[in-house]
Amino acid sequence: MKGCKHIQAKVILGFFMLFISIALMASVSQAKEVVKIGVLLPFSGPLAYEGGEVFKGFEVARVEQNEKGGLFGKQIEFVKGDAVDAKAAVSEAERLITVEGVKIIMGTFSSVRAFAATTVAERNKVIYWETGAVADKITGRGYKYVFRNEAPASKLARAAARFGAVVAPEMLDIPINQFRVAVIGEDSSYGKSVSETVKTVVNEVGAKLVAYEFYDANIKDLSSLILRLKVKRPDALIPTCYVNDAILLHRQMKQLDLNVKVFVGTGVGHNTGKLRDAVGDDINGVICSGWPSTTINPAYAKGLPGFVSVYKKVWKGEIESPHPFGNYSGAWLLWRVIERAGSTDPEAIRKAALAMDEPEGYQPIGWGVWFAGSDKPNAGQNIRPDWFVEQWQNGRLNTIWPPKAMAKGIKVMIPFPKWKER
Amino acid sequence: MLEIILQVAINGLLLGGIYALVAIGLTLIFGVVRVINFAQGEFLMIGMYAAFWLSHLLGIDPYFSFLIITPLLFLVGIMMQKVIIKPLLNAPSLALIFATFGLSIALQNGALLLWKADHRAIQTSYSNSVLLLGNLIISVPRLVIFAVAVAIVIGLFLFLQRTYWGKAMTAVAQDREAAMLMGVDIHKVYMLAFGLGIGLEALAGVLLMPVYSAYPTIGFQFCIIAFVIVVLGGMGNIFGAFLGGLIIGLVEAFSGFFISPQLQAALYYVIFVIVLVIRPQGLLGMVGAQEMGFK
Repeated sequence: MKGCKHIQAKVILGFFMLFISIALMASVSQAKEVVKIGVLLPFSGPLAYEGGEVFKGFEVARVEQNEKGGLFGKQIEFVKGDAVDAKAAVSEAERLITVEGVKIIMGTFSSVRAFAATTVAERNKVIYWETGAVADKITGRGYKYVFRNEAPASKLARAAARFGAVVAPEMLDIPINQFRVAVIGEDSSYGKSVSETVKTVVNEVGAKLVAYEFYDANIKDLSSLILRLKVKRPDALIPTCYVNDAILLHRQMKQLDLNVKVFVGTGVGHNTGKLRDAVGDDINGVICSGWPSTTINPAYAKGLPGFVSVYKKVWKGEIESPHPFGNYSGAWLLWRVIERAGSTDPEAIRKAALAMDEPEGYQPIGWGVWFAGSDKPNAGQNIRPDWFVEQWQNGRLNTIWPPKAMAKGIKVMIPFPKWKER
Repeated sequence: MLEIILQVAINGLLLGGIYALVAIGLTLIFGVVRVINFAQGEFLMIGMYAAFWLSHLLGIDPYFSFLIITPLLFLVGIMMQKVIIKPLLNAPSLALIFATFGLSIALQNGALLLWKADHRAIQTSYSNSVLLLGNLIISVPRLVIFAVAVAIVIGLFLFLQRTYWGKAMTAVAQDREAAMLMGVDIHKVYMLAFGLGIGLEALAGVLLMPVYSAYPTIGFQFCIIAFVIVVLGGMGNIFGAFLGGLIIGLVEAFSGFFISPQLQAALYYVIFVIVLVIRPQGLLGMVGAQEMGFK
């Protein structure tokens, strides 16, 4: 009998302990209630560096917002997904949604990965907030839950072409109908589609298109193309290259002494430090469209000083590329949308995003906000942003367009210095 | 116009020199060991990366670092013969193809893992140097490659004609069994051929560094052109590889200038097919060269 009572007491004590621990767990989990955001980026594989750079920007936005008290009192927490390729982007998006239970995914840097992962988000009615991938088709499918902050690739080409074929002849005082433009590009869909847009702009503005040439991006010699261009005597050269052919083009242009007055690259080949590392000071004078560097005028990009100070605190180093700031702006905008929605419910976020109407200067990077509705051909695209135009000066990129984004003391270096005078 | 045509010809010959240098190692291995080394291009890539890192980390110029890289890769070639090729020499030829192809993929992915898909370029004082002949422009680093290719062709010719190991190599290439019966250590000859073939490929990679940037698939891209050149010139024929390289270079330069840069590569494949139809043994090859081996 005595033993039985002893067991009874043990059971009661056990239940009591269980009750206490459940209560404690509940209170702990309540205290730790967070806003969970999925972050889908290439953290490993060939684009790991770029993915890491984008994440730095996201992290700055997260830390900054959490220091201000988070979103409606809850701290923001990231759940990472490694989109090493398009297939992984799909499986990781599925994991973030079904296993981690996130209602919002941010990403992706790479268009191929974004194109694949956005389909998963749309199917699951989860918000996909794109802050870095530029392919036009990402927002061209009538999706309701996919939003993109940055301007698409076609605007990247237009920004470069507008500068090369409209702004430059004005600065050089050459009548537009006498201004000779050569458009060249590598012959994959990237080079061809961008060059096609550039050609359209050149024809629209009435400049003279003297060359329209393509080559294989893996080409081992561009001398024949350069000699063809020499015969055509272009004032402006607008090439669309990857890194490898951009280096070859630059070196062989110098060797064969092809001089142009304006050199405007349209993207990846000319706006990363890889070309500078390969050709050194010869890069000075090259113009390209893309994300602004941190030399942008802070009176235009009002969020720049705040970003720089939090970045230095979080990452304890120098800013290496333009990706962190550009993608930080995208994440910052998402926090504003979530605040206006009052919850992380995808429907509420969708409504809040579509209701936004903010002028230029609203975002840290200086862009405005107005998302195209799902009935529009570019559903979910923020149509206010336009790409910046930068120029390599003294080995770094300085923003030169729009003029109000140009920092004090920066001057546009036109004409492009002759090779022999460098 | 004449000046421009001369300039196109110079550019074509200099490009041909690059292609010839890349193809010599491949043709040497094919001629002697009769193994089609699909991983050949990867040793070019390794040579390029080695030159990049020695320049980047230790500041050693590629025109000096080849003194370190070429002997090292020569040893790697000997190891490859010992570890991968030798055990498979008597296996069906498909096994060797799979082995070298597998090695190629492994090395490419190894490079991707270690150094990412980034393009790594070095800047040397002579990267953009040119010699001027009147108005004609000659790129100095490309001229160096051309000169080295010529020197290697002559050097190999003398080595094969004048030295014991060169003669042994020719004997093994002509008839493996007969050479064995004459007391030639064929495994040593094979090791030497692999060592030389891979060492020369790495040398080509080092010399390409002032001209191109290194990335994991660059060797494979050059290897495809090298295969065309080796077959075009006559399999296993060193002079044929040199001539094939120059022809491809000239075709690329002239078609790029007169037709379209987009058709540069397409056109030399057309010429490649035409030559094979008319002269299946290649330009300088003899009928049954694959049996005769190295000339």
